[in-house]
Amino acid sequence: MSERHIRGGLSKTTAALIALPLALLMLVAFVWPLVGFVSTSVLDPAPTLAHYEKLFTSALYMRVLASTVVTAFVVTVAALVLGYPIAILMSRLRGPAAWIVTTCVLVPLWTPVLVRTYAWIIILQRQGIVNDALISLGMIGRPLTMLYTTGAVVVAMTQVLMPFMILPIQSSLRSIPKELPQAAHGLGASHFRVFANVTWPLSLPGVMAGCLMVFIIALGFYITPAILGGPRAQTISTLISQQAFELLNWPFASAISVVLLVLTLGIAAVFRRMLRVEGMSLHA
Amino acid sequence: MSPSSLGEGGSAALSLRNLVKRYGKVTATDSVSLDVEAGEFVSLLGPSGSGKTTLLMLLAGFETADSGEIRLHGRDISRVPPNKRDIGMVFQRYALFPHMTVAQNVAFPLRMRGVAKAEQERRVKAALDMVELREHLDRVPAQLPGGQQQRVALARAIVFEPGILLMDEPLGALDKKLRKHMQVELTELQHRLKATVIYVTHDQEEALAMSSRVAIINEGRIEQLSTPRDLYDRPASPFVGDFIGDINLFDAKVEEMQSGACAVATPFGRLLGTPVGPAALAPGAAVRVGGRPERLSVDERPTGGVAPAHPATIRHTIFNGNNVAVHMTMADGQELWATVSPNDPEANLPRGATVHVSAAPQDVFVFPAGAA
Amino acid sequence: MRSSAGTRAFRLVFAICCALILVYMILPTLLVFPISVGGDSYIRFPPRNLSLQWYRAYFEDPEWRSATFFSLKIAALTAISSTVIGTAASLAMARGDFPGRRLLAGLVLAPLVTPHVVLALALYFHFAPLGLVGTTFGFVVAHSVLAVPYVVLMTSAALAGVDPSLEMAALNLGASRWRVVREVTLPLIAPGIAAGALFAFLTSFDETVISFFISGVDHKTITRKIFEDVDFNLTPVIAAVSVVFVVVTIALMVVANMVSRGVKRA
Repeated sequence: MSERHIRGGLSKTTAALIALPLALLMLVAFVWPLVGFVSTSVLDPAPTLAHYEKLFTSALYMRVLASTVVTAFVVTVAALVLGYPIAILMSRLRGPAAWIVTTCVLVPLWTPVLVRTYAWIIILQRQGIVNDALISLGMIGRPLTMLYTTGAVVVAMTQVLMPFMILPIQSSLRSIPKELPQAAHGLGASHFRVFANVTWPLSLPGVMAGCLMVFIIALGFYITPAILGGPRAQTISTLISQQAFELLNWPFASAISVVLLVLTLGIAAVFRRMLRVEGMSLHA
Repeated sequence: MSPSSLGEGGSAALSLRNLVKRYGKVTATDSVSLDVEAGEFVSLLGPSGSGKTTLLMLLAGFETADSGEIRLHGRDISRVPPNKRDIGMVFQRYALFPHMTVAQNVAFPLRMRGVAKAEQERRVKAALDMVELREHLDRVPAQLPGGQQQRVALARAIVFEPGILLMDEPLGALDKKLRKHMQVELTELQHRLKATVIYVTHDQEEALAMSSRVAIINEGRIEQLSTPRDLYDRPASPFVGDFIGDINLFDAKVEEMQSGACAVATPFGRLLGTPVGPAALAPGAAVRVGGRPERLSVDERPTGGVAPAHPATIRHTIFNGNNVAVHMTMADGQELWATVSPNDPEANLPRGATVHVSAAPQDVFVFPAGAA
Repeated sequence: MRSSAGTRAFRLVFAICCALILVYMILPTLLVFPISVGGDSYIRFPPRNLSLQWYRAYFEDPEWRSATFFSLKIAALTAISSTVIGTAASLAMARGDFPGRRLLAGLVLAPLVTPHVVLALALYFHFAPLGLVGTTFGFVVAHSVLAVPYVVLMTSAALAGVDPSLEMAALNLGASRWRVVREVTLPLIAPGIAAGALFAFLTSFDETVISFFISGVDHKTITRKIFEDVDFNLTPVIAAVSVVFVVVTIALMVVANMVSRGVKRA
């Protein structure tokens, strides 16, 4: 009932007035540029589908699209497999140990992606840490080429995006009442069965939220693939930027962007139906 | 049932006329009319969902009625916004501003009215004096216990000398002992201020203890508006009879009307009762009969009085300290509760014993059926 | 829960795996610290001859200095503009009703799911003819679009947590609608506003992709310069810059976290 009172708190005109700056900002600096940009994919030079035709009939470009999706998928799975145990750890620990784990998860989250990617160069380059370690251990004779491969991109992106997987899962796990696993144990279930039949199913909302976030971000990621991927590991994003700024083929870049947007929004919409991402819903 | 109305409401401090408020299909306020005299303490008493809070919101101005009018000291405030109605209000959980000190909270309404600083200080102290809170003026509400927060809320509501005071279950958050204490204090404060108070509560004991008159609210309507005594002795409907105190209620049929009294036929026998309400009752009409437990006479042998007595079997008795509740079954299976003194011989009868139950006609209420 | 040898062995393996994963997660961040104090003239790990030469190189290089100041400037301006615009809109959406309210509420979250590359291109496309590429105004506008969703989220959450009876009480006591906002609502959501402002600042300061594409030759953000140097001029100076960058970001995030935690508790 109180919502009704407060809903009438501001008059319609006042509310519209103070919301106007935001509306203007979004329209002028977001909607309008995007619409304009996206429309060049079908309007340049005259109404045409040529750019899309070029995109979908080219084996090269389709391969880039496919590999981006596959990479995003691999990163998501890797983040899930590696991140789930950490999430479990975080939800069970208390005291200083919990603090350490939380720091290990949050600090990378708060470290700018650029810096982390730069660090991966140092780790993976030919004179880098991994190679130095492997050589001094006598496991290889010559340094491995790890940079500028899809593998490097996957490894770095997984590390960058893991916090986005861990935090929602940890939140889901925290909300499972402690009595449930205890009751299951009391009824004779082994640790494995408790996990499979109680913990895992109840953590699914967090898992879905995490997978959604990681997948969407991985799809559109630019920085890490651009720096670590090199010309042989193109993604949709680097392709878009290349077409626009190096080849100056804006309409084509726009067409690829549209495909990326459709993919992103489509997946987001599908997932939103299945769950409400925590903290991402406004009181509308 | 009919609310009380005092003439044209010209002299009333607060006057409601046919107030209606609907939310979609639900009628929260069903044509409510009410007059409150200056200096009265009127409680709006009813179960949750009865519409008493809606009524309060309408009075305070946070909701606007669909039709009807509200007059405060003769001035029509039906369309006046809540910040211009000059009504003092104490909220259920005090609604003290957590980021302001006690003194700042109480000074707030004075500040909104442009009162000079020095004058503000004086009146704040006077208001806090009234509610007997003289220390901790520089603390924030979170640092005070519930009872003291209550006083701050009161002081803030009276400091600007409003026309009337609205209170929305203000004692609900306090523990039982403190609540009883505050009830007394509130009543005394009201007398000192000669304030007109509208008090919303679901606690009948509280309403009866504090009010000069009580309005029983059910489903958006005022079922009865009377003094506490009147509500108890002469309930206007089965709902009121049931809500205030205890009552036995069962169905019956009118046999015949006698002068002022009414003979009804119940499945267990004939009773003499008093019809309630303006409608005339025709023989054969369905009615609902009510009788308070302490008004039933329970005797081992029929006493041969004027009122008809009927046999009953004792199911069990419950010792309540200052009385004994007797649970009985009549010949047809109807269950009745009676209350007797612990010293009565009937109080010690065993289960299965036979007794005779009767009641004076003025203690047997005959309500028209369908009167809720 | 009985602990058998099998369980204990599992627990040990689990702990070791977790430790390895945690190292994997935090290593890159930690790495820039020792690199930045290396005494050699190239990147070397572990570093020999500790020295602060790279920090000196950073602070004495006019290009790095101007990039840093530029980033700080637009971050501050972005924080101010997006906080004002975002808070005002949150108030309007939570306490008022106007046509298109739900649409706006959904629209304001869209930048969060839009790939930055696409947005960067779209903005460049429109800024170029207007001469806004590389300008402070252009940057602040672009970054505000990215920052404002965070401000709206934080302030909306704070607004939802305000006890409605407080605003009702203020009205009842004679405050005009505007005074209710000024005296009651805004002070109570101040932590949410502060958290939003900090997030906005960091969003702008850390932003890489869009800054890269709408930077001009003269006006570069610190992130663009790092990006360029990583591509063309990979020296440990970047490590020194990164350390400063990381320390600033983490410090502000810790503060923002504490402030928004206070909001949730209140």
